[in-house]
Amino acid sequence: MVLQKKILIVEDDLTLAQQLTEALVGLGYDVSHALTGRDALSQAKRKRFDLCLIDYKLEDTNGGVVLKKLKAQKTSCRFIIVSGKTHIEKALEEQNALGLADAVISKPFKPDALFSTIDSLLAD
Amino acid sequence: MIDKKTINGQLGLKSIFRNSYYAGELKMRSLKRDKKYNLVQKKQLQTKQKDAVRKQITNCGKDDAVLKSQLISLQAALEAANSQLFAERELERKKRLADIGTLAATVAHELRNPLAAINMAVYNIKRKSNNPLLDENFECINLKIAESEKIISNILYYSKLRPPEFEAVLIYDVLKECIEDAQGQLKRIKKIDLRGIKLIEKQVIAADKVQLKEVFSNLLNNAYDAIDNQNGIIAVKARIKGNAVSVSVRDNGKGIDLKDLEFVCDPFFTTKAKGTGLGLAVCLQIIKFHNGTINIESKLGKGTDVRVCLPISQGK
Repeated sequence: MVLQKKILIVEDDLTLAQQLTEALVGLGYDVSHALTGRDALSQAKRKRFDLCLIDYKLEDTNGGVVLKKLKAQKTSCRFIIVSGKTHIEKALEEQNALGLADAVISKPFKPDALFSTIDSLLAD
Repeated sequence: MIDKKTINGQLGLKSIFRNSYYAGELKMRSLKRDKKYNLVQKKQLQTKQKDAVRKQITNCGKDDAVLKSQLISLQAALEAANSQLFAERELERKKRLADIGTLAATVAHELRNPLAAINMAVYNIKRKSNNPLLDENFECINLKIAESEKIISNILYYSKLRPPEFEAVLIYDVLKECIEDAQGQLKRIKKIDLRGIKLIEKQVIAADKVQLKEVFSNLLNNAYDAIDNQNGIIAVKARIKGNAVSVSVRDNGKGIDLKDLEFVCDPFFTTKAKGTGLGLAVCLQIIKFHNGTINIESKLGKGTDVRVCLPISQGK
């Protein structure tokens, strides 16, 4: 049996998170969801994820901060930053977090484009 | 018999002798004296009058000078008040536009989340329903999501417009690319003759290539929107004019109403049914960044000519 890849969605928009979860579960992934940065960090302590999909704008913090903290756990987890922010790369760069992300995707993304990015990152 | 005349005459003579002069002479003397007196008086009067007039003139002159200086200071005050009013209005306008820009950018950004959720929901419904009959409807939703995203991008592009990154750009290549793109996308368009821009074929200018593309694409797009009949023609011409390159995009479309002309570069001003009103606002901002100018001439029912002048080099 092939081990299911584990994905954590860090997203404060509940509806979007639900739709994403449904789609990713349909594609065969084991999906968890965190509404806040704090929740994401605590979930990451309990479970080893293969990929984190992190929204930049969160209620308690931003995706760059979460990314840095998760990265510090030194797991083989891959990271995708998702955002509706226009100059998201610049914002990440200012926090020295751009190089930590495996991909940066802007909203509203095309589902197929997102899934193929996830697929290729997890295949590496 | 002595007649009355004689008596009178005698009397007269008597009186003459008595007083050593006769009344006629007296009268004459009096008259002379009067005349002399009158003359003196007249002269005095004249002098007085002259003095008065002179004084008046002097006063007038003084008044005139005062008036003139007052006029000058009034004019200066008026000019100062006018320019202050203009500056205040300009500031107010800029602030209003900045506020609208901030609002639009915030709204646009916030709309990306719901759009992303709709996108995902469509994906999920499509997968679950697995019904080809619904494909057309899904296609429609996707198309509208893409359109919304385009509007949002336009608004955000405007609000986040950054100063250009100057590099040496072959302006002909950029213009040619924009014309070819426009002809590819805009179906009704008649072929735009590239010979009109041949004169700048080798010209290199200091510009931001991406921003330049944005300007030309917007101008071509506007020209295309203005021509709504089969005889629509868009002509693009370019030439070197001193230290600048001048590019003109002309159409024979519906033209711009005179009352609208001064607002066409204002952000969010549009007369199109579909449009954010940001095209020319973006162009103007980019051209300002490049220290260039934009000139719009238009006649209602005849067409519009937009002329953009961009300096070849950017001074320090």
